[in-house]
Amino acid sequence: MTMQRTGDQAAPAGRVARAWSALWRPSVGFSLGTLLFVGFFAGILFWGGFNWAMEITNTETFCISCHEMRNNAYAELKETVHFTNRTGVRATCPDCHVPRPWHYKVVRKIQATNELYHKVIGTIDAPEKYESQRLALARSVWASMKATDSRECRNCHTMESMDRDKQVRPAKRMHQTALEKGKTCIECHQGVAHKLPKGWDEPAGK
Amino acid sequence: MRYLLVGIALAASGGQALAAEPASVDWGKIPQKPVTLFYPGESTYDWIIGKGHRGARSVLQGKSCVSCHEADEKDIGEKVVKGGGVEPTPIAGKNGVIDLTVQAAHDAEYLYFRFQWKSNLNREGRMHDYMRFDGKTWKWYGHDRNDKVVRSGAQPPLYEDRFSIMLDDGKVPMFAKQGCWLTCHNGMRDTRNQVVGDPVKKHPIFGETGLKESDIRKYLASSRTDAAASWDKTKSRAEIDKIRKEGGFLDLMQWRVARSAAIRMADDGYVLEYRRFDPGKNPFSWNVDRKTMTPLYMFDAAKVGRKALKAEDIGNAALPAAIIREGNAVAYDANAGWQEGDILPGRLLSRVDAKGSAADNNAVDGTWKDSTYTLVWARKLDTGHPDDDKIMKVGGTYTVAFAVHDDNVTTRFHHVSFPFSLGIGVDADIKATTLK
Repeated sequence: MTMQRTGDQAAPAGRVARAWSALWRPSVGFSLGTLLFVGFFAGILFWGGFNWAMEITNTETFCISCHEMRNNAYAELKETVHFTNRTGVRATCPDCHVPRPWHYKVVRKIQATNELYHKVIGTIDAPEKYESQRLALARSVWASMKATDSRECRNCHTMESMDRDKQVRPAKRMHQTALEKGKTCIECHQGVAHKLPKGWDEPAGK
Repeated sequence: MRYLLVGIALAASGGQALAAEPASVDWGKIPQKPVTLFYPGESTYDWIIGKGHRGARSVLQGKSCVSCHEADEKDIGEKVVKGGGVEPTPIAGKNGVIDLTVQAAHDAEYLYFRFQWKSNLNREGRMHDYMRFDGKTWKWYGHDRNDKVVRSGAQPPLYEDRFSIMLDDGKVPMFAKQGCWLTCHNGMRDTRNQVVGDPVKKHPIFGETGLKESDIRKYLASSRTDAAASWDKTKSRAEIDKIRKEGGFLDLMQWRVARSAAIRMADDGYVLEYRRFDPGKNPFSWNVDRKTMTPLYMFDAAKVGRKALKAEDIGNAALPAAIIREGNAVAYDANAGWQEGDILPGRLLSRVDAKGSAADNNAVDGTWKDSTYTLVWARKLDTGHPDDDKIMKVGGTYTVAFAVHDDNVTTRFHHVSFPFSLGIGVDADIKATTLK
């Protein structure tokens, strides 16, 4: 792309062109060491800042800064064993809903920008609106969990680390069956952290 | 062949309409569905949703029993029957499970069932509500195994065996998932807080101004106002009537080895705010004035060879166990020379007198041989009584659950199934085969 000065009105474009040109011109005033040194730390600052900003969005505090989550999904979580339990281990929103592997996490964060749009237009900004969307929202989460073999469940729970002999009779047998049939957690454990929507077990589309 | 049998049955039935012969179905060609019936103890609804049940939250969320308990019947039954937990008063020697085989078929008008199961008792459980002459008066003789006079050994266990079918068409909330646990509640007979007498008699729905009952029997959680579905927290009469009109009741039919089998019938009832019999006249009634304990009928000696039974006759399959008004009965004669030890049935059966919706199950035949019951049953798809029966259609899918009362027990001391889908000619857990 060639940029030409065409008069005073074109000055901003000229500055951009000069900056662009300078960016690619070998430095004459700084040593390679300085450039590498500064670039290294600038990179750390940039990368750290990016991840810091992303991690801020990856906290329960951030999730429930929206009343939609605070008053609904979070309020329901507080009533379940994933919030308060004998051993004092708590699952927060991102533990179940944000992947831990970095690249999946970034993809999820990009997808989450769609939630900003719905926040702005108020898709679930009232209890009745939330209820009307609850089934579709839940199905979406279940589908993604099933597709990843319940990856986020397995951050804490794995079949390998379960001592099924210590489980109650039905759990022991159902987990054995799940192993044999290749089932994944979410196929049985829907509604463990939130209310089950009406019609949750009917075929989608009904 | 079927029509020939129908003709014979019509002749034998005193002219009462009998349009189907379940025995004429070629059952050898109908697929068998194995069902494990298990002993539930006192797993009443409030227990199911309470802290004692680890799956309570799932139940309240609307999950099915089998979502946790698939193929768990044997383990549950054998654990509960031993006592402890939900069985505070176990019965010694009782079995935890009963293996039931279910077959179903249909034509344009009827649904046919065939059931087979082994009984724990080495005779047919056809004695029930018997009266014994003690030399002066008639007194009740024999009870169910949970009764204190039987537990103490003072009287023999004498109670009829039964086979029960619950049927729903999808109008009872949660029945397809949670089955008969929706009907079994704390406060009912033989539960830990059973309610009898005044509290019931003073209740506006059940008492003197209502159903005139003195105890609590099966009811649906949907007929109550509180989460635990307490016996006394009923919806109003108008609300209950509205639920019934909209079909939110369960059909409950029981083949009773003492009270209906001998006249080829089963009773017909429904469950909503209480377990009630359908309108009309039941196959059975009392054979005694219960205020004076005076029998109404005795055996016709000309037909039976004796006017009464003796204790040693119990279990003698050659002798009748039931008094049938139009079959083997004559009016009771107080001066017939009664002797201490004479026994008469306290119930009177009549196929001829049975009327209306209560008499819909009029083609039900059961046999007991080598400790195995075989029961065949014809039920009209459309009985014509939609206010208390589930009306079925060819191509429809319904929910059924089964129970057996085995070996002199009543109330909760039975074996039950989880609910199953039943397809009338369509795929389901139990598919009724279409008869050509």
